[in-house]
Amino acid sequence: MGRQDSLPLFDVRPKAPTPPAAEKRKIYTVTELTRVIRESLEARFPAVWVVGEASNVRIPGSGHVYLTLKDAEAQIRVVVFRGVASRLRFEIRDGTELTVFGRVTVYEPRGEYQIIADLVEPKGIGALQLAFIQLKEKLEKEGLFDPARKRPIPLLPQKIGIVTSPTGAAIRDMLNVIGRRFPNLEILLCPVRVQGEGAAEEIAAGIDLMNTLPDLDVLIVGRGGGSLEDLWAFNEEVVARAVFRSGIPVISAVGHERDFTICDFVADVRAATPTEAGELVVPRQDQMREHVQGLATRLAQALLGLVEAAKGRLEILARSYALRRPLDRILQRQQRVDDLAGRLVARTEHLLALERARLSGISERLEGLSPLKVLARGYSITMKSDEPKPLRTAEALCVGDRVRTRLHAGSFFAHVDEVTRG
Amino acid sequence: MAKVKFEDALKELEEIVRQLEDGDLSLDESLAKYEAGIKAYRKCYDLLQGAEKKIQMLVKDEKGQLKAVPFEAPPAEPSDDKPVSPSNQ
Repeated sequence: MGRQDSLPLFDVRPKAPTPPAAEKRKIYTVTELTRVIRESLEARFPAVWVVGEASNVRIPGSGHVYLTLKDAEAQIRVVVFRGVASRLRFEIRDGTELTVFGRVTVYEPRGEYQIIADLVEPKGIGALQLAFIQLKEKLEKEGLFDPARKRPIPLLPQKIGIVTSPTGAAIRDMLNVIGRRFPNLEILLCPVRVQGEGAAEEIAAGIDLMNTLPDLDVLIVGRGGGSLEDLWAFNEEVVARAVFRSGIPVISAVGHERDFTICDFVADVRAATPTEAGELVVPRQDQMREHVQGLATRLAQALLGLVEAAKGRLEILARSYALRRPLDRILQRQQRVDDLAGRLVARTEHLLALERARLSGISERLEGLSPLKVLARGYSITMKSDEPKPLRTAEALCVGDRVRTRLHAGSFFAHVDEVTRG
Repeated sequence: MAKVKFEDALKELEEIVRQLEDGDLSLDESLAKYEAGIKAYRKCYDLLQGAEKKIQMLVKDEKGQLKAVPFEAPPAEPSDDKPVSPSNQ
């Protein structure tokens, strides 16, 4: 035998088709042929999945997205019509690895075959995750997450705004915790939907609305736990922008501890859960009270200590000068020392007594003995306009006296024009 | 109530207590500081009393005007949103 390839056993080379005789030719126009090709392609590939890297991505004013999907060896054109493109949460960019589902067709004017996409997903990562990464990158670059712009939340807000669903577990958890820690606070809820179509816009509008109201010291924005899809509104740009715009410091409280949302990154403070937001937003009233009370006690003790020390020091001084100074100057100094020390002690004791009286007054009020409560029921207090004591009898009143009457809300002055002594 | 911030009043009180405890002030200064301290203490105490407890929700009335109405938390239902504390994680 000679060389193998010189004597093939079977001839597998394609035979060049021989054109039929001229009278048997089927001649297409370009349009006809293109149509036949299109029909056969469409029949053969009505639904295909294809994976590749996006390149030459173009998004003209029509909103349709044109791109080429390629791998190392080949490329194919893809069209994503506006209807499909507008529902994509992430952005198709050059270099994005995509999985596309669609049908193959031919764009006849150019004789190009292409895929019309019905579904476009990032490869190897969920569409939502990719959208999250893309938006996070973008906003981070713009400085929305800048730690330097994070504002402290007030230690003790007087009025708290909450933007969340009025029916969810989140609002209940927050109100529970806040009520437990600090029973008497003002809270204003702006009810919004927290998931589904339009939720992000509602949340953003809620944040903006709260910013038009007076007196809110802090804003909590959030919802309870759920799937990534459920929490999605808090990953949308409109919400991020509204949080960034807010003049009121914002606490973001979305989902569970492990859930991080774009809203969390923009907010001034992130709470792991709505419950934690409640803990962050107010201190415990009892602890804070104890702390303040402790400071007041130290304040008084410090002053008393100073007075004692000064007294001792001055006494020593007075004695040491006794041999060299005329007696009267010493006596004068001693007198001044005693006087000053006495004044300080008296003053201190006076202020402390006032405080004690005040505190017992406060606790009485807390026990519900407040005259304000009586006034709220429609009673009033009358006193002579120049005396602070309420009148209990008409004995001391004369016609023409000016009296002041205090009502639950406000007070008025009047002149007495008749007196009946009981 | 004027908008006195609690943390400002508290900081002032803490600062005054520290200065008085350091004992570097003259007696006159000490007395003045003491009175300022009592004032700060009263502010703290007043703010700690809190406002009237009021929980409201914004709603729109028939005319589309915003108003606040009393709000009550929805009744408890099984929730998996547990309080978070680092110690039991």
